[in-house]
Amino acid sequence: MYKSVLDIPGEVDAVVIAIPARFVQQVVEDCVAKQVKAVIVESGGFAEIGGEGKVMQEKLIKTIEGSNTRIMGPNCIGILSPMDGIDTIFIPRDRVGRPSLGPISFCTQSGALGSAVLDAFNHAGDGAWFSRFASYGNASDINESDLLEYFGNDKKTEIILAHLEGFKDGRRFMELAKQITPKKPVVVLKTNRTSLGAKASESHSASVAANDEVVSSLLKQHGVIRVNEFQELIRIAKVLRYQPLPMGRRVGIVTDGGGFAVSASDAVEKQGLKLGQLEPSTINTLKAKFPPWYISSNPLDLTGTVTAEEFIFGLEQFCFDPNIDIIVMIIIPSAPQFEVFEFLYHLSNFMVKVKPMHPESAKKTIFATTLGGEESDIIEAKLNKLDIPSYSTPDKGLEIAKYLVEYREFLNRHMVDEEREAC
Amino acid sequence: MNTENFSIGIWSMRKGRPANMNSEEFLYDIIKQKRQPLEVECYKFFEEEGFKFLPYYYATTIEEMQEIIDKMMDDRQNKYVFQVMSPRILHKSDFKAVILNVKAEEAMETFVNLKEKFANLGFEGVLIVPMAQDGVELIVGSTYDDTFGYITIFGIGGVFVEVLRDVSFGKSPLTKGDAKFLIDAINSQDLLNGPRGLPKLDRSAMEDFLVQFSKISCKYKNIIKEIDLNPVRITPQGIFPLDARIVFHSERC
Repeated sequence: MYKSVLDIPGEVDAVVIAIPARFVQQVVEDCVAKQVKAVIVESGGFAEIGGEGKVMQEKLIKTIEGSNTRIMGPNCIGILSPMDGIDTIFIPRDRVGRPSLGPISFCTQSGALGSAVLDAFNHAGDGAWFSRFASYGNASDINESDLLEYFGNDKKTEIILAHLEGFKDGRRFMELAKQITPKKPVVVLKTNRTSLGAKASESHSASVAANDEVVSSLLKQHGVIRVNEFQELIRIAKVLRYQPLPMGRRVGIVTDGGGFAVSASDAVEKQGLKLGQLEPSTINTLKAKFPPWYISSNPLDLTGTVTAEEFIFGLEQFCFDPNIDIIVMIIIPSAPQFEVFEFLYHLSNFMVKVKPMHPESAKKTIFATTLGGEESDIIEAKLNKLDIPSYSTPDKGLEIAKYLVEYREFLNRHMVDEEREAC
Repeated sequence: MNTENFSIGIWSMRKGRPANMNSEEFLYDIIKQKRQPLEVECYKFFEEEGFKFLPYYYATTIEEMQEIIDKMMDDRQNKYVFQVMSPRILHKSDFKAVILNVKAEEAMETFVNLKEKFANLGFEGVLIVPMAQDGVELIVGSTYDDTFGYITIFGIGGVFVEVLRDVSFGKSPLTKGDAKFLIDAINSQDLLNGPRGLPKLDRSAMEDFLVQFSKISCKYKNIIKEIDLNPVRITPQGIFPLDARIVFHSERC
């Protein structure tokens, strides 16, 4: 135990401060004197409470001016970097689980949202999730743009997620995004949508440029995927991890429930996606295989007499059809002849041995919805192992599909685009 | 602002642009007069920047009007819009300072009436523009956003811009890919594809237009705060701005 940072012999790389706000100033001064590079102020009671807190935060920032010390926070929950064994999150593991090491990095302005996301990912099943996590709180010094830049350059980060309540430096954020999004997907949950309203203005242009719509449009322009709620961060991360990005907007629906085929078709249209037109040869293959009461088109309705083998046969044909980009499986395991374990056996065979080998099927994005009781849990567990994301409804999956399609369209635009001039 | 004895160094159609003034000096000259630019000055400015308008005339005196009428007589079927230019009239329709469907033979009478009516309201001249063919109206605009800097706006234009709000935004200047994104991002795609026999938007030409437009605010960033080209009409001959407005940074005026 040391009374002060200054008493510690040798160099100190990072200091985590988690003491009442009024004592923080002295510790930060000591850190500057000690030439500590990174200071994480987890304490609350600064700018977020206004008044005196704001003054204290300004004083902290003055303290590090001209030094090599950088501050994360105040009012944050800390950072996590499992591969380095770093975990400064003050909430114990039994309250907030730490997801296993993986390709995703996440920065968040809100500590509460950050801990909820960590816990939710930890709960989201097996597999690789997080490489870095940073809660940056009041963004007094290190802000969203710094973290975006860091994640952009970080070799361990393949997918970037961020929660923002505002932009400290919007111009820099967009410029960085434009550099990073062609290489790594960036997903942003930007809350705090209400603007002060349209400003009184002399031009139409200024009066329609309400803040949140500008944010949405600019994020898309720079290839950033903007999601609307916290759950969507988790849903989209599931696809981005292992599924290929869709090549286009054409959806195929494979199901044994006609009613769900109809509602999923509605959702396809609502999201601005479209149902792919199957090749005549695909339709012939399906018709040759299936009894006449199956609807051998898109959506493929395999009805209540479906067998597990038939379901997989249908899925395969959709995967081989060049007019389909995204496949939605809606599995209703209650069909009497549908054997769950037979289904899982065939599915696993297909996903591991067939799909990746065939140039057409390898491109398809697949996700699933399983509707039912106990069997659903068994199926979902296996889907998760096969890296097929599952969503509670097809609509939720199709919302995510739309984000992915827009990102693909950005990449297509970017490939042939010129460099942007400075302004 | 004293506008009673206000004299404006407008580039008249007859005199043409002052040879010793580039676009930037021209804008600064208006700023010196402590006012925002008139529409006809915006036309001139955009022409210098490479934008095309429907062929228009500008008359400040009866003599100039007579010369213009001689040209108008070449095609007597054409009808024109007469708009009073005055630094004191910001919203021309509020002042009934816009007359539609004027034929060549009615031109002099219309001009004289407007000159008399607005003599005490800072009358500078009349901008005369041919009535444009029917077509979907767009808005192309630019504004300065405190968070992101200059942004370019594209969307469905006309007087109901704020009601329809079918617009998209991009950080300026735009690349060609950005411009494509802005066009694809609006909801009313059917309006761009030539509804009810109206001309269809040439998307590639629109992209070039947006790219070129988006550079202007950056080029004149010390001067220009907002720009409206509203409406920009889709015609069989191409895309033409029918109205142009430039707003300077407030500290400039």
